[in-house]
Amino acid sequence: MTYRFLPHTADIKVAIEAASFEDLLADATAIVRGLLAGEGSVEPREERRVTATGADASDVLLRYLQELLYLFDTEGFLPAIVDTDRFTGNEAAVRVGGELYDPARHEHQPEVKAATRHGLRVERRADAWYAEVVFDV
Amino acid sequence: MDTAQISVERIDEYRWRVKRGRGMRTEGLIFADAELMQDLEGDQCLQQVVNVAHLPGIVGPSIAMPDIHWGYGFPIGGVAAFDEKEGVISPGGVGYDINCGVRLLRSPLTAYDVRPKLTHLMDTLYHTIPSGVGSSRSDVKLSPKELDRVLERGAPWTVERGYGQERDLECIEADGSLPGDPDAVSPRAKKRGTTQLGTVGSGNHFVEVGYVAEIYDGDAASRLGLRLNGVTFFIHSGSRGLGYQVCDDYLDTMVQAARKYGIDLPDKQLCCAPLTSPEADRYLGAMNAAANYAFANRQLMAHYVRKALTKIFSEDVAQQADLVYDVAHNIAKFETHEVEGTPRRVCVHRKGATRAFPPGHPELADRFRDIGQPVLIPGDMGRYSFVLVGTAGAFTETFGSTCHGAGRRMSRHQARKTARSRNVPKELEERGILIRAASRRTVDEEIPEAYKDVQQVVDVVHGAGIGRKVAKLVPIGVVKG
Repeated sequence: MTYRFLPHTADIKVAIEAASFEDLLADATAIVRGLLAGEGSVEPREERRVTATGADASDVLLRYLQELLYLFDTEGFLPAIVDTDRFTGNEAAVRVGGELYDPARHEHQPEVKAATRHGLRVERRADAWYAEVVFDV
Repeated sequence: MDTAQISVERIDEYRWRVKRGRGMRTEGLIFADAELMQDLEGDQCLQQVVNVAHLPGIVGPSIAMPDIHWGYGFPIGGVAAFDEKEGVISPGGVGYDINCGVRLLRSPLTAYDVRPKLTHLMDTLYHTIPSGVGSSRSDVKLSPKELDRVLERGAPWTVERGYGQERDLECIEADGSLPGDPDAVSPRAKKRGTTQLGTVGSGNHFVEVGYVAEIYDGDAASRLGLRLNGVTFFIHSGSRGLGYQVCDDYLDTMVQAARKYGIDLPDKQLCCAPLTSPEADRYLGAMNAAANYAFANRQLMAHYVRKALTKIFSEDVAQQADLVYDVAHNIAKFETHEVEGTPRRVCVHRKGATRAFPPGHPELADRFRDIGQPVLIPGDMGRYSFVLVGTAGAFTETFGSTCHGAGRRMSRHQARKTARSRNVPKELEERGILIRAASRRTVDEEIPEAYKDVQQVVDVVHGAGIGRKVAKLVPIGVVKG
C-alpha cells in the first residue's frame, strides 16, 4: 500500500502507486476512510455493493470515490475495506466493508465535498498502477 | 515576471496583465499588490487564469481577484463572462458548493452587552445550528414536495414558513430566489438535501459573532445600520451536499457535452456546454435550484440566530436583528454589462468572487440604490472581516465583481503541522474569541495564519476601485464545523 499526500493550497491532493487496479481501489478506500474518520479504526461490520462504470480506469476510480462520499453523506457509512469482484477496464464491481459513523468512536473530520476531475490521472505503468486525485474540501 | 512560462506584466500598483499566449482567446487580469503577487509565483492558480482564457465566447479578460488561490478548473477568486450566444457555461466555474455565500445580521447589542453572556450565546448557537460533517436537522426534515418548493423558490419559501421577515428578502442578492428547476436536480442530490437545510457544514464555513471595530464610510455604515461596537452575526455556508451532487452530476454531463460540441479543453474540470445548448439550460435550472437551497439554508440559520437572541436576551433584541445583506460567492448569472461601449448580455461566472453592483443599479433594492450593493468579505477566525459596497469601477472593469475573502496561503497539511503542538481554541480565547467546533482538525486547518491577511486583500480592491471599504468587524465568538 503506497500513497502520499502532495502539496495543495486549499484542497487535498494524493498520489497512489499500487501493483494492481484492485490494490489501487484498496488504497483509495484507505484514503477516504482517513479523510472521513481520521486515525481511529473503522470495522467492516456491514457491506455495500458498488458498481463503478466509466469510459476508462480514471473514470472508474472517480465514480468509486464519488460513491464512497455519497454513502457517507446519505447514510453515514464509513468504508474500511474493499473486495473487488470484477474489473474490466471500464467497470469495477466491488463489495465495501465498513460501519456507520459513530461520533463516540470516530474522530470528527472536515467535510470532503467531492473527488474532482482536476488533474485526475490513472495510468497503467510497466508493473504498477499510478493515480493522482484532488479532493475538494 | 515569468511564472512557469506564463508571462505576467505589471500594469499599475494593483493590476497585472497575463499576456495572451497560445490558445488563449483573451488576456488575464489579476488584481494584487506586489507582495500578494509574489506569493503567487509558481502557483497553479496562474495557469488556471490562463486555462479559463481558452474557453469559447469569453468576453473581456479572464479575471482574478487578490484572494485568488488554486481551485479545480477555474481558480478560486476567478471571474469570467461569456457571450450569451457564443459563450459557454461551466460547472467548474461555479464550484461544488453552489451559492456558497455569506450573510450578515446586525443587532441592537454592543460588545459590552454580549461579553458577559458570550459563553451561553456560543453554546446556544452551537447546539441550535448543527455544524460539522454530515450534520443534519431532525426538526426541519423536508418532504419531497417541500424540497421541490425550496429548490423552486429559495429564501421566500423559508419566510413563508415563518423563518424570518419579509424585509429580509430585499437584503438578499436576487431577493434570495433564482429561476430554479427542481426537475433538473437528480434524486441523488435531493436525497443529500433532505435533512441538511439549516446546517453550517464544515471546513471554512462558520457562524461568527463579532462587533464593528472601525468605520471607514460613516454614511454608508449608518445606512446599513452598522455602528461602532454594534454586535453582528456573520453566517458562511452554501448548498451543502445537494449542491456538491448537482455539480458532480453536471460535470458528467458537461464532459460529454464538451466532446459533442467539439470544445477543446486545457483541463477536464473546465468541461462546459454552449449557453444555447439544452445541456446548459438543464445545468442553469439545477444550479439555480441549488442556489435557492443555499439562500434558504442561510435564511434558516439566521432564524436560529434570532431564536438564540430571544433565549439569551429578549424577543425585542431578536426582532431588531436585521439582515444587512446576503451575497453569493459561487454562482453563474446572466447580467447585462457594457462591453466596449455596447450593452451586452453575458453569463458571469463568479467562483470565489462577490457581485459588487454600483449605486444606481436597477437590480438593487431602493434602500441600497444610492450607496451601492453591500459586499461582505469574511477573513480568518482570529483577525477581522470587512463590509464594503459595490462601485462603478467594479461595474466597468470586473463585470460588477470583487473579492470574496482572505484566500488560503497555507495548505491544510501545513496548517495542521503548524497547529499540532498548540491549543488553538485556548490561544484564541486568550485573545477574546470563543471557539465552538465539532472537529479539532477543522480548527487546526483554519488557523488564522493559514490565510492571507484579508486587510491586504480588501486594501487592493479598495485601492483599485472595485469595492469601497465601509466597516471592519472583529470576531468574539465562532462556531466552526
